[in-house]
Amino acid sequence: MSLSTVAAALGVGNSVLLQPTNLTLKGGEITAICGPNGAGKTSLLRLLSADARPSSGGVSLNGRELSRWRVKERAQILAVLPQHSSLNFAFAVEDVVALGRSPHATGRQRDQQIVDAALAAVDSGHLRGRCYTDLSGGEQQRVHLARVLAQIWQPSVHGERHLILDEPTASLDLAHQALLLEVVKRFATEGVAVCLVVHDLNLAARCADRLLLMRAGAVVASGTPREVLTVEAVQAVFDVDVQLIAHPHSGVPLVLQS
Amino acid sequence: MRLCSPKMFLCSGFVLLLVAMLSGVLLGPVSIPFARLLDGLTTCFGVAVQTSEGLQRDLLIISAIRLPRMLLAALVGASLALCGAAMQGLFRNPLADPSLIGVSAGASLGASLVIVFAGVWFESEVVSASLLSKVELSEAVGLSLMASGAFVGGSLAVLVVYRLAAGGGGNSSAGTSVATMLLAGIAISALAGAGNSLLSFYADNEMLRRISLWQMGRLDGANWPRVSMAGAALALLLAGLLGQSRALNALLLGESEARFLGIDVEHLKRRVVLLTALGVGVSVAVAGAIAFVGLVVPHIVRLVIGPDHRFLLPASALLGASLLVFADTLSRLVVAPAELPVGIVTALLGVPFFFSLLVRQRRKVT
Repeated sequence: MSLSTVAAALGVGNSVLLQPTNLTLKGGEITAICGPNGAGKTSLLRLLSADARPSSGGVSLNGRELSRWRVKERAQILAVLPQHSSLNFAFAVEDVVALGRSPHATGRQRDQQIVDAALAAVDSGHLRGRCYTDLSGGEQQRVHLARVLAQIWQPSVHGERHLILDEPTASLDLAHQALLLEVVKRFATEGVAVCLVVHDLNLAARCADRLLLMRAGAVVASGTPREVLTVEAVQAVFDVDVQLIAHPHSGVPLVLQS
Repeated sequence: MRLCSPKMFLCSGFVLLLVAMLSGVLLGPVSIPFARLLDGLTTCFGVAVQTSEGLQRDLLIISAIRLPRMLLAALVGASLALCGAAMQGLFRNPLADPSLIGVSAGASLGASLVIVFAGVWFESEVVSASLLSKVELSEAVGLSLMASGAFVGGSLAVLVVYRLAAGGGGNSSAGTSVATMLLAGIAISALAGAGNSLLSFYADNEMLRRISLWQMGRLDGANWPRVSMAGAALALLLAGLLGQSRALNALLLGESEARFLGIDVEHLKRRVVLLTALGVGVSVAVAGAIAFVGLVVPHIVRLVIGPDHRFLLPASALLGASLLVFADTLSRLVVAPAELPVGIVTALLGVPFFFSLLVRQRRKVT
């Protein structure tokens, strides 16, 4: 029961966006994907979220080929937060979050409770009556986060739940980044398989159970943050000089740019 | 944000529509007092017995001229506003309007093609009054043919514009581009315009009159077959669109996002394209290209009750019906006993509105 790619590759025309890749997202585990721009991170997420069909290989969700799921049932256990959102209609914030409940038929009252809880979880309860288009970028990001959380808030009869986040911390301030990591960890302890793309290696090291480094459309390193984050690996992937020290409290590696 | 609760707005929409319909029936070159209408109603239901000549005359005016015309205005207004609202949802863009993005032009080209190539059907219209039933039959058949032509033309136009504006593939999560959408609309309108001119060039007098009629948008050809056709189209639109409100809401997030939320996006797009083409096509066939109703009405509704399609769609239908009935009444009154084509009135109302929207969009971008 998991979301996994088996030798899945993605290409457009003659250019290869993603080499054949094997990846399994397990329930309760947080997987972080890091890599330079154009490394194929978003391509991998697009395969995992059924936004693109693999040009070879396959992707399966809880034992069934991803494309053979009914869209509605799939949406009950697979929530995806894209990098950008293009919503430019003046919805109330709570209505945007309520869109996350559209694959479910849990009734208005329950949906409202979940919407409130999801907004509270991302410290946005005070925004609920505001107009979405009046919010700042970071606030909008939190609203969409609440939306995808609301989508997989409860365990489902269709099996393990999965949460895929593409650069969720991009426009968040430090406090809300920390909050996001906490929320994601809480979902993971409830058995949700989480996969997120982040640019901040230290952030990834802090939350991830497994870290993937990607470069040129391929996964070049995979393992726990301690295994993966070595000076050589980071220099090879990002082409920058770095130093590593251990975090004074948790002991996870900290990447310092020299 | 919301200025009033959606339910309140829907209720006032109903009241407004009733007022509009009453004024549409009672006002005109011959104005009929409200008491006369009540008398007429009681006579119809056999309560009162005495009838005067004046009453007979007024009832004839109402039943033969004003009632079908008012109903046609209401049905076409509702269809156009509904199509506008749905199309703006599909394009994720509040500027999408059937007449601006070339759908009406495509539809009227389709209708013109049918007029010219199936002109045979319309010759029987000059048949003497004794063959009334035959005339009505051929009117109905000709109308359905023209509506089909308009439907095909309209669908092609929506498809082309959507393909262009949404960037071809279904993968882009960004909204459709306003610039591309409007430019594609210009291109299609120009193409359809050229086609129409070509047809007008080869058409005979009778056809020419019909084609020019269609391009202007007017309701004076109202009769019961047209009313029933517009009614059927509106019924289909309502049945097919109201249930998709939640899906349309999700689509505003973007195609991929809607898919992540479990919406069958391809199915939804097909449905909206076909239904709006049907709505616009039938409207064009029965009343010509009436511009801006589909732009102005959903906009006003969104300003008042927000973009939630569950309320936006029915409220737009109500307000669109009221607006076109009012506009038509106005067009019959200002230069009475002559009348303006209603398309001119709606354009006069709509163009300043469209300009103000464009200015606001520009400000938002810069």
